[in-house]
Formats: sequence, C-alpha cells, structure tokens
Amino acid sequence: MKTLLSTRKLKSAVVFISLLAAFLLALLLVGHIVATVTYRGLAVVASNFPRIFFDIPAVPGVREVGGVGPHLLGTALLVTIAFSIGVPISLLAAIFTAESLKPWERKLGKMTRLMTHMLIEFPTIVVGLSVYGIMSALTPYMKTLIPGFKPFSLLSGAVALFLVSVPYMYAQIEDGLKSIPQHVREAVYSLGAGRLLTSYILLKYLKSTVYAALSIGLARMVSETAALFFTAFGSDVYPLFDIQMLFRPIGSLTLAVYYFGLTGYENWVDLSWAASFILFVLSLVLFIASRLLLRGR
Amino acid sequence: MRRVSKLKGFLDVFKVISIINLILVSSVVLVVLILLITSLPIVFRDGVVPLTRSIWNPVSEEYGFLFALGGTIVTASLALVISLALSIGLAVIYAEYIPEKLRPVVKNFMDLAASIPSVIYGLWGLKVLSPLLRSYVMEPLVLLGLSPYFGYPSPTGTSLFSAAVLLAIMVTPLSSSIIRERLVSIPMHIREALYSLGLMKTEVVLLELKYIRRSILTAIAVSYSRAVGETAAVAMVVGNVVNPHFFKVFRPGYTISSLIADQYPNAEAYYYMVPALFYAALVLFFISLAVNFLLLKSGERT
Repeated sequence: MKTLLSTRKLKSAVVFISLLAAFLLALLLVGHIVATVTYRGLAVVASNFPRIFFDIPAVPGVREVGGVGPHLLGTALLVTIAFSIGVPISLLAAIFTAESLKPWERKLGKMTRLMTHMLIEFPTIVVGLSVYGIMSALTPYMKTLIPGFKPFSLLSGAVALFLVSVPYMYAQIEDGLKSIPQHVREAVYSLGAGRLLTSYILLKYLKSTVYAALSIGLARMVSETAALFFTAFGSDVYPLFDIQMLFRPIGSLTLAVYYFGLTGYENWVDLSWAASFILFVLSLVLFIASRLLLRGR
Repeated sequence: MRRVSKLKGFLDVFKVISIINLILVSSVVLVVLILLITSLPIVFRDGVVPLTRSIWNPVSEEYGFLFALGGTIVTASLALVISLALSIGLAVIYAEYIPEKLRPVVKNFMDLAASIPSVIYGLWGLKVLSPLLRSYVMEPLVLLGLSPYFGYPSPTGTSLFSAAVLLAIMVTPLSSSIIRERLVSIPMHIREALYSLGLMKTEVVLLELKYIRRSILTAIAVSYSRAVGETAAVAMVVGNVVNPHFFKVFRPGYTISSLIADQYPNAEAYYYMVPALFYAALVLFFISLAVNFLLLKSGERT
C-alpha cells in the first residue's frame, strides 16, 4: 500500500511539474516577445523621434534609420477606406440577418451567415490572392476607364482588408442582436417602430458590443499582413495626393515589418523593430479599448 | 418613426438592405470562383501532377509543390503537438492552481498575446527564436548524431522546425483560452464527486481533462486551421528554400502560404506561375475547409 501510494505521489508530482513547466514556458515566451519588441523598438523610436513617423526609410547599409512615414500613411489610408466601407455594410447586413422575417429574407440571412463564417476561416493569403485575381481580371476593362489601373494598388488593399475584417464585425454585431431577449424586441415593436428603427434602437442598447466589434475589426485590419502582399504590394515613398493614388501600390506598417525584417541590413532591421513597436502599440490600444468597452456588459 | 413609415410607402427598406447581403454572399462565392478559374490553365496542363512532385522551375515553367504541401502539414502538425502541451499546461494551472486574484492578469496577458499582429511574431521568430533554437536545440541534437533524421540547420536557424515552434507559440493563446473557459465551467458537483473518490489534485485534473476532451478537440482543430493558414510569420522563419525532404525538419523549407508570399513579386513574369500559385492557394483552401468541417463535426464552435 505504501509503495502504491508513493508511485501515485510520484506520478502526481511529474504531472504537476510538467503542467507548471508548460505554463511558465508559455508565459515566458509571450513575455519575451512583448519585452523584445518594446525594448528593441522603443530604442529605435526614441533615438529617431519624431523623424521616424514622417521620414522615408534610409538607404540600406548606412547608420541612419530614416522613418516609416509612408507606411504609417499607407496603413492609415488602407484602414480608413476599408473601415468606412466595412462598418455600414457589416451593420446593415447584421440588421438584415437578425431581423429577417419573410422566408426569402431568412434564407438570405442564413446564407450570409454561412458564407461570412466560411470567409473567416479562409487563410488571409488566399483572400489576398483572390482579390489580386479579381483585380487582374478587371484590369483590361478598367484600363479603358482609368489609364493607371493596376492590380497592385491601394484600392485592392482596401478591398482585401474589407474582406478580411467585415465577417468578424458582422458576426459579432449579429450575435449581439440575436442575444437580445425576444420580449425586449417585441416591446420596441409594440411602440409602432418599423424593423429598421427597431434595429437602430436595439443597436443603441447594444452600443458597447457594437463598438467592441468595430474595434476588433479595426485591429484585424491594422494587423493584417498576408492579404496585403498581393494587393497593396508595398511602397517606400509617399504617394502623390490625387485620385491616381488609389491605383498605385502603397506601403503598410505590417509590410514594412516584413520586408525590412527579412533584409540583412542592420539599419533596416532596426526600422523593422521600430515599425513592429508602433504596430504593437496600435494593437495594444485597440485591445484595451475593446476590453474597456466589453467590461460594462 | 414617421419618417420610416413614409419611406415604406416608396420602397421596402429591407429589400434595399438585402442587396448588401447579396453583395457579401456573392463576394465570398467570387473569391472561391476566381481561385478555381485562375488555376485552370495549370490544372488543364498538368492535372494533379503538381501535387505529387517537388519542383519549382519557373524558367522551364515546371511547377510541383509537394514540398510546400509537405512543409505545411509537417509544420502545422508539429506546432499542434507543441501548442497542445503548452495550452493544456496554461489552462490547467490557470483554472486549478493559481489564486483567483491572479487569474485576470494571466487571462488578459494571454488575450493580449492573441491580439499581437502575426508579423511581429515573425520578426521575433526570425531574430530571436531561430538563432536560439539553432544553438540550444538543433545543434545539440545534430551533435548527438540525429542529423540523418532531422537534417542540418541553416546558419541563421530558419527552418521548418523554427516555423513549427513559432506557430505553436502563436496559436497557444487561442487554444488555451478554449480549454480554459471549458475547464473553469466544469460544474462543482462533478469536481466534488471526483475529490470524494479520494483522488489527488493532479488525478482530478487528468480526469477533468478527459471530461472536456471535446473542447480539447475543438482547440486542436482551431489551432490546426490557424497554423495551416498562417503566412507572414511563417514566411519569415521557414527559410523559403525548395526542400523536397520536408520531413527533415531542421532544414529550411517552404509551406504553401509562404511559397505564395515569397514567390508573388516575380509571378507575373512567367506564364504559368500565377496559375500555379492559385492552384497552391486552392489546395490550401481545401485543407482549411476540411479542418473546419472536422471542427463543425466535433460539435463545439468557438
């Protein structure tokens, strides 16, 4: 009996120690990432402050770093376009799905749900490649309308970001609308409100859920890399501010981290750390925002 | 209210909104269709041959991405094993051992980790993790004479193995959160019943893990689907070398996603390269579809 107990104890100790080791290792690794990005990135940002936010990258192999101005602007432009199209579309689509009554409406709502859920699971590189395919199929026709039309452009990048992040925003808002108890919905209807006005009132009731969904969608847009390879393509110079800008390649912070990180030049690697630190701070802000918004509920 | 009902006289608002839903649905269909259509030239020319050979020679327009397919499966499977160990450890210690006050700290930290852009993981993997793994894991194992099985590492440490470890770290926050939430929600009476058998705490924990095996399966499927599709981080650490011996994990290689990401700048220079990349993407799409189908079958959605 005594030996039996001690093998049990031994086994128990082994299990506990391996669980604890896994726990500590996971925390250590994640902590190391956060610490390294902050340490390496902050050093570069601090020593090149404010230039890092406005300058174009320096030539490779020199001591100067330059800045990620064009990439910051690119991310801002891409996200602004994709977000301003994505928000109304995901809101309206969610309202339609949640408030559908007639059979054809229900069918379409279910279809939207299924398809967007599928889209969430698509690898984002596939989405990006597809947008590139669509854009290059359109190019011969669009060239007659717009001479400078190219598949690698700000427009394609924005479309790709839209496709990557709208399914998330739509799914969360729709879940929120679905979670409203039926009696609340009926109470609003009983005031004589139509379906659209009802949804508007219900969305007000869900305000923090909606804002959290939007901030998560925004975070996905900001942190997306793979979908931009074939679409935004990347660029290290400022675009000219005219309508042609939409049809030219554009840089983004994530692409900057990728390209500069993969080069062997020390100053470009530093630039990559700086870009990843800026990106980290952006996603941290959005993460905290979504947390604070959801805490009320 | 009045405004809406007046508007209703002219047109049904919901009919107008339905256009948006139609656009969303058709855009998803279009995304899949364009993959199929664009890959047709190489499907007609080569059939399924590209899936069965490892060759990437744009100059003679010969493409076969078995090496990338193998790289994807090897890295994702290896990542799955590592991340399962990490995330079970995380979830169990979180749910059973650490004081209640510390829980929000760990939870928020891991959720934050899940929200870090993948390209940052990639940079860290390239500059920190790969050299570390090379000097402390790969080289000792090679010294032990295991190089016939694992191959020799590259000077920078970029390899399929590094990619797998990085993927494991990336998917751990998500998969541990799935296990964690389920573990915390095990009813008290089941816990008490287990303790009443006179079991030790770790034995209870092991039985609890058996009890929530469906959630663990869900976590496995979710992490596999993530690992298969992940691009930026993998492309940075996998080495991007055509490696027909993709099972020798210490060597650099390719995954499907990193092949697409790495080859796209020169894709348009060759006639069949764009179709070949789309074909590869289609294969990736079907793999992730299959994994998600399994996920749906396993019953629990996240």
